[in-house]
Amino acid sequence: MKTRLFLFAALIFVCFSHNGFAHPHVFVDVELTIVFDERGLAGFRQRWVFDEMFSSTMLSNFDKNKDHVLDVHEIGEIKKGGFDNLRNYAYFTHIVIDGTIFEVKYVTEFSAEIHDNRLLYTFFVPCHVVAGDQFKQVTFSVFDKTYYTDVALVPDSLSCEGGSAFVVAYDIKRIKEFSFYYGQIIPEGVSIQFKRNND
Amino acid sequence: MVKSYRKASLSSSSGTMTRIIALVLLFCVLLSSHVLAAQNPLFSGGQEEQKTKEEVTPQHKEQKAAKEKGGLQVLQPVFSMLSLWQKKLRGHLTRVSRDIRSNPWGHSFVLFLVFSFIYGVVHALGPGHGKSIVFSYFLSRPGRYIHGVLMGNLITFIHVFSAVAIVLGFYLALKTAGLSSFEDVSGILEKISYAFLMVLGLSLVVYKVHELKTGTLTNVQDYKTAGTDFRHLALVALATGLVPCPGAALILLFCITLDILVPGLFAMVCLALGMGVTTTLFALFSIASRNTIFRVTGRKQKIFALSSAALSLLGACAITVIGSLLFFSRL
Repeated sequence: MKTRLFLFAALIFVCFSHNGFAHPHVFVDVELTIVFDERGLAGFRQRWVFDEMFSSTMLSNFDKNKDHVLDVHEIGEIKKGGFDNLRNYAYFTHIVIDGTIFEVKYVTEFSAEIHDNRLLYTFFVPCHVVAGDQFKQVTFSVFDKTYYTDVALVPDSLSCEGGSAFVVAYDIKRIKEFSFYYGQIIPEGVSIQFKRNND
Repeated sequence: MVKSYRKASLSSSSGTMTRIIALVLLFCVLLSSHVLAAQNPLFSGGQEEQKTKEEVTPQHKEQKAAKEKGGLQVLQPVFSMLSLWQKKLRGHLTRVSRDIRSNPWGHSFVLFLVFSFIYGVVHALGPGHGKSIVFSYFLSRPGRYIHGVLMGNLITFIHVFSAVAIVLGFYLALKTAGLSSFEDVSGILEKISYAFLMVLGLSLVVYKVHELKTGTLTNVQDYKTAGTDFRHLALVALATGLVPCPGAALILLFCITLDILVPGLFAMVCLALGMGVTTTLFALFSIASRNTIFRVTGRKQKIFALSSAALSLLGACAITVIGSLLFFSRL
């Protein structure tokens, strides 16, 4: 019995320890705004707040004049050196619309700033879904499949902008269909339902 | 008579079960296709080709999203908790390190070392191939507990101090302390490490086949008197640990930006010791598993021979496969 227990535990450990060296290394808190326009869902505005240690090492490279304020040139450099490559990772943004994957390939309105010694990225992910008479179901999450970066949604920051013409319901929960790393990491995401308000 | 027959039957069934589980364990290692060697996604890596903006209009791919994945998700709460702890510990490290500036060797310095040690223990518990290699290594060959302690710590010290060497190299030579320069060198070392692991794994397979042919591997007496090749142990530790630890690099870079390099170097030792504790536990666990199997199978030469050959060969193959998958994932 002891032997079996031993081997079963060994099986569990070995199966889940194959991913480069230990992870994660960077921590990001994501503040999210769901944005609607006159036709329906327009996209998602994200604000990434990096952990202070990572922020500090980034800023030592990019805040060239060390004034703790990022000017236009410095923001451009950060975008080039510490953001654009995320295009290869869909900006960690994963969206499913009525059961179909929506692949994020570009974002707009990128900006960066420093607040409380922490580096902040803000950008907008366009994702147009026209509202109809039936509910549309959109599932949204931000996570890094390589697990180099640990991403956490900040529940209190979740808000909706411009949705008054629609019936909108959303909540934060763990999205099992986005699970990765042998299904052992289930990221948090937002489940959104909306339709045209005919009243 | 009946009682003893039942006992023998149960014991035989238990032995068969043990072998089946052991084989499943090793096949899981071999068939694993999820080996990833992640670089910082903010700076480098990624599978897709870069495309121009005109080409990359968001689109619906004709691809159905995966349905809810079933199966056991036993480690979800563990990974969530580990992540949260690491995040909190990083916060504590950041807070106390700022105090070190005003009082370099005071209370904050002690806390900084303690948090670094705990961070090391927790950090090494996260997903990573170091534990797989240590586990496979000791499954493939006899080892004493002291060898487990030695290898566990050797790997993590090399892992942490290869990061320290890169960061300090850049800092002393160019007076810059940047994560992107670290990532550049780290990428090269990772490839060398994985190729090295692949070669060492292959040499271990060849050696085990040779032992199998000469009968050393399948004889109980030979197993009991077998020694440990320290050179090989050190080489595997070097190959595994060579990949610089980005976590260590981040802490040290942060210390450099705060102008507290020396406390930062002390923290690196504590971090390596903490990671060493976790990796050592996996080594001890592997040695204990192997010893348990052979304690059970040692009474019957035939079963012992089968278990010994299977574990040794598959353990060696596991190191080769892990090294290969990591290496080819980085090409």
